[in-house]
Amino acid sequence: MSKWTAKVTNKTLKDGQLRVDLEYSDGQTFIRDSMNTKSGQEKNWVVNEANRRCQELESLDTFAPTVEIGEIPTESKVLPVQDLAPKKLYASELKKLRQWGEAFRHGIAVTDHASFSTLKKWLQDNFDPDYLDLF
Amino acid sequence: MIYLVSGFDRSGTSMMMRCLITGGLVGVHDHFQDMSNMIPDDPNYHPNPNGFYGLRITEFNRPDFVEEYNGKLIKCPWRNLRKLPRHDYNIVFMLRDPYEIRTSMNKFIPTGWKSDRAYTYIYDWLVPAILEKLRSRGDMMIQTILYADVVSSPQKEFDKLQLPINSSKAAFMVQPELYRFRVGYD
Repeated sequence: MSKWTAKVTNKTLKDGQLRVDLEYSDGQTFIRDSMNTKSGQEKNWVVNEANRRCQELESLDTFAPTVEIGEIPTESKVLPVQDLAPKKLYASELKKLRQWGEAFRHGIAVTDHASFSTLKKWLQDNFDPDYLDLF
Repeated sequence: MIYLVSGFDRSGTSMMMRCLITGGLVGVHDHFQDMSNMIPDDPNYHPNPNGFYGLRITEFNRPDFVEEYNGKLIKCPWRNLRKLPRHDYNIVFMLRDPYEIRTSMNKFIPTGWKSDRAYTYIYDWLVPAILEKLRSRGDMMIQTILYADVVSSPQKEFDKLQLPINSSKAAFMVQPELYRFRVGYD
Protein backbone atom coordinates (compact mmCIF):
# COMPACT_ATOMS: atom_id res chain seq x y z
CA MET A 1 0.00 0.00 0.00
CA SER A 2 1.40 3.38 -0.99
CA LYS A 3 2.09 5.94 1.71
CA TRP A 4 0.53 9.36 1.09
CA THR A 5 1.95 12.56 2.44
CA ALA A 6 0.62 16.10 2.48
CA LYS A 7 2.02 19.57 2.46
CA VAL A 8 0.55 23.04 2.61
CA THR A 9 1.44 24.89 -0.57
CA ASN A 10 -0.34 28.17 -0.01
CA LYS A 11 -2.80 30.07 2.12
CA THR A 12 -4.97 33.05 1.29
CA LEU A 13 -7.20 35.13 3.50
CA LYS A 14 -9.77 36.92 1.38
CA ASP A 15 -13.35 38.13 1.85
CA GLY A 16 -13.50 36.77 5.38
CA GLN A 17 -12.49 33.29 4.34
CA LEU A 18 -9.25 31.41 4.79
CA ARG A 19 -8.25 29.06 2.01
CA VAL A 20 -5.48 26.57 2.65
CA ASP A 21 -4.05 24.84 -0.44
CA LEU A 22 -2.66 21.36 0.04
CA GLU A 23 -0.81 18.92 -2.10
CA TYR A 24 -1.02 15.20 -1.49
CA SER A 25 1.43 12.78 -2.98
CA ASP A 26 2.32 9.09 -2.89
CA GLY A 27 5.63 9.81 -4.63
CA GLN A 28 4.19 9.30 -8.10
CA THR A 29 0.84 11.04 -8.13
CA PHE A 30 0.10 14.56 -6.96
CA ILE A 31 -3.36 15.71 -5.91
CA ARG A 32 -4.17 19.31 -5.18
CA ASP A 33 -6.94 20.15 -2.77
CA SER A 34 -7.98 23.03 -0.58
CA MET A 35 -9.67 23.62 2.75
CA ASN A 36 -11.79 26.64 3.52
CA THR A 37 -13.00 28.13 6.73
CA LYS A 38 -14.90 31.24 7.67
CA SER A 39 -13.94 31.10 11.33
CA GLY A 40 -11.07 30.17 13.60
CA GLN A 41 -10.41 26.48 14.03
CA GLU A 42 -8.63 24.28 16.48
CA LYS A 43 -4.85 24.52 16.39
CA ASN A 44 -4.39 21.16 14.64
CA TRP A 45 -7.23 21.57 12.19
CA VAL A 46 -5.12 21.49 9.04
CA VAL A 47 -2.86 18.70 10.29
CA ASN A 48 -5.77 16.54 11.36
CA GLU A 49 -7.68 17.06 8.14
CA ALA A 50 -4.60 16.36 6.02
CA ASN A 51 -3.84 13.19 7.95
CA ARG A 52 -7.38 12.00 7.53
CA ARG A 53 -7.26 12.66 3.80
CA CYS A 54 -4.01 10.72 3.55
CA GLN A 55 -5.66 7.77 5.28
CA GLU A 56 -8.58 8.00 2.87
CA LEU A 57 -6.24 8.01 -0.12
CA GLU A 58 -4.37 5.00 1.23
CA SER A 59 -7.58 3.07 1.82
CA LEU A 60 -8.69 4.03 -1.69
CA ASP A 61 -5.49 2.55 -3.10
CA THR A 62 -6.25 -0.67 -1.29
CA PHE A 63 -9.86 -0.77 -2.36
CA ALA A 64 -9.52 0.25 -6.02
CA PRO A 65 -7.85 -3.00 -7.22
CA THR A 66 -10.67 -5.04 -5.71
CA VAL A 67 -13.25 -3.49 -8.06
CA GLU A 68 -13.52 -5.79 -11.07
CA ILE A 69 -14.26 -4.43 -14.52
CA GLY A 70 -16.89 -6.27 -16.49
CA GLU A 71 -20.39 -7.55 -16.22
CA ILE A 72 -21.60 -8.09 -12.71
CA PRO A 73 -22.92 -11.61 -12.17
CA THR A 74 -26.66 -11.53 -11.63
CA GLU A 75 -26.51 -13.52 -8.43
CA SER A 76 -24.37 -10.85 -6.74
CA LYS A 77 -26.96 -8.15 -7.39
CA VAL A 78 -29.23 -9.41 -4.66
CA LEU A 79 -28.44 -10.77 -1.27
CA PRO A 80 -29.24 -14.41 -0.70
CA VAL A 81 -32.70 -14.92 0.72
CA GLN A 82 -31.32 -16.37 3.94
CA ASP A 83 -29.43 -13.09 4.56
CA LEU A 84 -32.46 -10.92 3.97
CA ALA A 85 -34.91 -12.95 5.98
CA PRO A 86 -33.73 -12.08 9.52
CA LYS A 87 -33.77 -8.38 8.77
CA LYS A 88 -37.22 -8.54 7.21
CA LEU A 89 -38.44 -10.46 10.22
CA TYR A 90 -36.90 -7.90 12.54
CA ALA A 91 -38.57 -5.06 10.62
CA SER A 92 -41.88 -6.84 10.96
CA GLU A 93 -41.48 -7.26 14.72
CA LEU A 94 -40.42 -3.64 15.04
CA LYS A 95 -43.64 -2.64 13.32
CA LYS A 96 -45.49 -4.56 16.00
CA LEU A 97 -43.71 -2.51 18.65
CA ARG A 98 -45.00 0.67 17.02
CA GLN A 99 -48.49 -0.83 16.94
CA TRP A 100 -48.24 -1.63 20.64
CA GLY A 101 -47.14 1.95 21.24
CA GLU A 102 -50.26 3.21 19.53
CA ALA A 103 -52.42 0.80 21.50
CA PHE A 104 -50.96 2.17 24.75
CA ARG A 105 -51.52 5.71 23.62
CA HIS A 106 -55.18 4.99 22.92
CA GLY A 107 -55.52 3.23 26.24
CA ILE A 108 -56.58 -0.10 24.71
CA ALA A 109 -53.66 -2.10 26.09
CA VAL A 110 -51.41 -2.00 29.11
CA THR A 111 -47.65 -2.11 29.06
CA ASP A 112 -47.34 -5.15 31.31
CA HIS A 113 -49.08 -7.35 28.75
CA ALA A 114 -47.12 -10.62 28.45
CA SER A 115 -47.01 -10.49 24.64
CA PHE A 116 -45.51 -7.05 24.76
CA SER A 117 -42.81 -8.17 27.18
CA THR A 118 -42.03 -11.12 24.93
CA LEU A 119 -41.79 -8.82 21.91
CA LYS A 120 -39.42 -6.43 23.69
CA LYS A 121 -37.17 -9.29 24.73
CA TRP A 122 -37.18 -10.73 21.21
CA LEU A 123 -36.22 -7.37 19.73
CA GLN A 124 -33.33 -7.06 22.16
CA ASP A 125 -32.13 -10.66 21.75
CA ASN A 126 -32.23 -10.51 17.96
CA PHE A 127 -30.90 -6.98 17.52
CA ASP A 128 -28.03 -6.47 15.12
CA PRO A 129 -26.29 -3.10 14.74
CA ASP A 130 -26.91 -3.36 11.00
CA TYR A 131 -30.64 -3.16 11.68
CA LEU A 132 -30.41 0.43 12.95
CA ASP A 133 -31.57 1.72 9.59
CA LEU A 134 -34.92 0.10 10.35
CA PHE A 135 -35.50 2.38 13.30
CA MET B 1 -14.41 19.56 14.37
CA ILE B 2 -18.19 19.84 14.24
CA TYR B 3 -20.02 20.04 17.55
CA LEU B 4 -23.38 18.33 17.75
CA VAL B 5 -26.21 18.03 20.23
CA SER B 6 -28.40 15.01 19.74
CA GLY B 7 -30.76 12.64 21.49
CA PHE B 8 -34.40 11.67 21.33
CA ASP B 9 -36.82 14.56 20.94
CA ARG B 10 -38.01 15.95 24.29
CA SER B 11 -34.70 15.05 25.97
CA GLY B 12 -33.43 18.55 26.61
CA THR B 13 -31.53 18.95 23.34
CA SER B 14 -32.83 22.48 22.77
CA MET B 15 -31.85 23.48 26.29
CA MET B 16 -28.39 22.06 25.73
CA MET B 17 -28.03 24.01 22.48
CA ARG B 18 -29.00 27.23 24.22
CA CYS B 19 -26.54 26.59 27.06
CA LEU B 20 -23.61 25.69 24.82
CA ILE B 21 -24.16 28.71 22.60
CA THR B 22 -24.17 30.93 25.66
CA GLY B 23 -21.09 29.07 26.85
CA GLY B 24 -19.21 30.15 23.75
CA LEU B 25 -19.81 27.72 20.90
CA VAL B 26 -20.94 29.15 17.60
CA GLY B 27 -24.37 27.68 17.10
CA VAL B 28 -26.22 27.51 13.82
CA HIS B 29 -29.97 27.04 13.75
CA ASP B 30 -33.07 28.39 12.10
CA HIS B 31 -36.58 29.07 13.27
CA PHE B 32 -38.63 26.87 10.97
CA GLN B 33 -39.78 24.70 13.88
CA ASP B 34 -40.72 27.57 16.13
CA MET B 35 -44.13 28.05 14.54
CA SER B 36 -45.14 24.75 16.13
CA ASN B 37 -44.19 26.01 19.55
CA MET B 38 -47.73 26.05 20.81
CA ILE B 39 -50.49 23.51 21.15
CA PRO B 40 -54.09 24.48 20.30
CA ASP B 41 -55.65 22.77 23.31
CA ASP B 42 -53.48 24.56 25.82
CA PRO B 43 -52.36 28.05 24.77
CA ASN B 44 -50.47 28.42 28.03
CA TYR B 45 -48.20 25.49 27.32
CA HIS B 46 -45.20 26.21 25.13
CA PRO B 47 -43.20 23.06 24.46
CA ASN B 48 -39.96 24.96 23.93
CA PRO B 49 -40.45 28.58 25.05
CA ASN B 50 -36.85 29.44 24.14
CA GLY B 51 -37.03 27.87 20.69
CA PHE B 52 -36.04 24.55 19.20
CA TYR B 53 -32.56 25.41 17.91
CA GLY B 54 -33.05 22.97 15.05
CA LEU B 55 -31.89 22.98 11.46
CA ARG B 56 -33.87 22.05 8.40
CA ILE B 57 -33.21 18.38 7.72
CA THR B 58 -32.07 19.18 4.19
CA GLU B 59 -29.01 20.91 5.65
CA PHE B 60 -27.61 17.52 6.63
CA ASN B 61 -27.65 16.43 3.00
CA ARG B 62 -25.62 19.38 1.72
CA PRO B 63 -22.61 18.27 -0.30
CA ASP B 64 -20.57 20.93 1.51
CA PHE B 65 -21.97 20.01 4.93
CA VAL B 66 -18.52 19.59 6.50
CA GLU B 67 -17.16 22.83 5.11
CA GLU B 68 -20.27 24.77 6.06
CA TYR B 69 -20.50 23.55 9.64
CA ASN B 70 -16.89 22.90 10.59
CA GLY B 71 -16.21 24.57 13.93
CA LYS B 72 -19.92 25.15 14.55
CA LEU B 73 -22.52 23.69 16.87
CA ILE B 74 -25.70 22.22 15.43
CA LYS B 75 -28.53 20.06 16.67
CA CYS B 76 -28.72 16.76 14.83
CA PRO B 77 -31.61 14.29 14.98
CA TRP B 78 -30.27 10.96 16.25
CA ARG B 79 -31.24 9.17 13.04
CA ASN B 80 -29.05 11.50 11.03
CA LEU B 81 -25.92 10.93 13.09
CA ARG B 82 -24.95 7.69 11.37
CA LYS B 83 -25.48 9.27 7.95
CA LEU B 84 -23.07 12.15 8.53
CA PRO B 85 -20.01 12.33 6.27
CA ARG B 86 -16.69 11.34 7.76
CA HIS B 87 -15.17 14.14 9.80
CA ASP B 88 -14.37 14.88 13.45
CA TYR B 89 -17.48 15.15 15.60
CA ASN B 90 -17.84 16.04 19.24
CA ILE B 91 -21.35 15.01 20.25
CA VAL B 92 -23.32 15.75 23.37
CA PHE B 93 -26.01 13.07 23.46
CA MET B 94 -28.84 13.91 25.82
CA LEU B 95 -30.41 11.13 27.88
CA ARG B 96 -33.69 11.27 29.72
CA ASP B 97 -35.92 8.85 31.53
CA PRO B 98 -37.99 7.25 28.74
CA TYR B 99 -41.18 7.64 30.70
CA GLU B 100 -40.55 11.36 30.89
CA ILE B 101 -39.83 11.51 27.16
CA ARG B 102 -43.10 9.77 26.42
CA THR B 103 -45.05 12.01 28.74
CA SER B 104 -43.58 15.11 27.16
CA MET B 105 -44.32 13.80 23.66
CA ASN B 106 -47.91 13.06 24.66
CA LYS B 107 -48.38 16.58 25.96
CA PHE B 108 -46.79 18.27 22.95
CA ILE B 109 -48.14 16.25 20.01
CA PRO B 110 -50.34 13.36 21.21
CA THR B 111 -50.61 11.91 17.72
CA GLY B 112 -46.98 12.41 16.78
CA TRP B 113 -43.74 10.52 17.21
CA LYS B 114 -45.31 7.13 16.52
CA SER B 115 -41.92 5.48 16.11
CA ASP B 116 -39.87 7.26 18.72
CA ARG B 117 -42.61 7.02 21.28
CA ALA B 118 -42.63 3.26 20.75
CA TYR B 119 -38.85 3.14 20.95
CA THR B 120 -38.95 4.68 24.40
CA TYR B 121 -40.15 1.26 25.56
CA ILE B 122 -36.80 -0.22 24.50
CA TYR B 123 -34.80 2.95 25.17
CA ASP B 124 -32.61 1.33 27.84
CA TRP B 125 -30.83 -0.98 25.41
CA LEU B 126 -31.54 0.81 22.12
CA VAL B 127 -29.68 4.00 22.98
CA PRO B 128 -26.49 2.21 24.09
CA ALA B 129 -26.67 0.20 20.86
CA ILE B 130 -27.00 3.37 18.80
CA LEU B 131 -24.06 4.97 20.60
CA GLU B 132 -21.88 1.88 20.22
CA LYS B 133 -22.56 1.81 16.48
CA LEU B 134 -21.73 5.49 16.17
CA ARG B 135 -18.53 5.17 18.20
CA SER B 136 -17.41 2.33 15.94
CA ARG B 137 -17.09 4.86 13.09
CA GLY B 138 -14.02 6.19 14.82
CA ASP B 139 -14.68 9.83 14.07
CA MET B 140 -17.23 10.60 16.78
CA MET B 141 -16.52 11.50 20.37
CA ILE B 142 -19.80 11.04 22.21
CA GLN B 143 -20.46 12.49 25.63
CA THR B 144 -23.72 11.44 27.23
CA ILE B 145 -25.42 13.61 29.76
CA LEU B 146 -28.64 13.13 31.70
CA TYR B 147 -31.19 15.87 31.35
CA ALA B 148 -32.14 15.48 35.02
CA ASP B 149 -28.50 15.89 36.08
CA VAL B 150 -28.08 19.06 34.03
CA VAL B 151 -31.11 20.54 35.72
CA SER B 152 -30.10 19.52 39.22
CA SER B 153 -26.36 20.24 38.98
CA PRO B 154 -25.72 22.35 35.91
CA GLN B 155 -22.28 23.64 36.86
CA LYS B 156 -21.00 20.17 37.69
CA GLU B 157 -22.35 18.70 34.46
CA PHE B 158 -20.99 21.42 32.20
CA ASP B 159 -17.61 21.21 33.94
CA LYS B 160 -17.47 17.55 32.94
CA LEU B 161 -18.02 18.18 29.24
CA GLN B 162 -14.95 18.22 27.05
CA LEU B 163 -15.90 21.31 25.11
CA PRO B 164 -14.31 24.74 24.65
CA ILE B 165 -16.96 26.55 26.67
CA ASN B 166 -17.33 28.75 29.69
CA SER B 167 -19.20 26.26 31.86
CA SER B 168 -20.48 28.90 34.28
CA LYS B 169 -22.14 30.85 31.48
CA ALA B 170 -23.59 27.65 30.05
CA ALA B 171 -24.89 26.55 33.44
CA PHE B 172 -26.53 29.91 34.02
CA MET B 173 -28.95 29.28 31.17
CA VAL B 174 -30.51 26.16 32.68
CA GLN B 175 -34.10 26.82 33.69
CA PRO B 176 -35.28 24.09 36.07
CA GLU B 177 -38.87 25.28 35.74
CA LEU B 178 -38.88 24.01 32.14
CA TYR B 179 -38.19 20.46 33.31
CA ARG B 180 -41.90 19.83 33.57
CA PHE B 181 -42.37 16.10 33.27
CA ARG B 182 -40.46 14.30 35.95
CA VAL B 183 -40.84 10.74 37.05
CA GLY B 184 -43.33 10.74 39.87
CA TYR B 185 -44.42 14.33 39.40
CA ASP B 186 -46.81 14.41 36.45
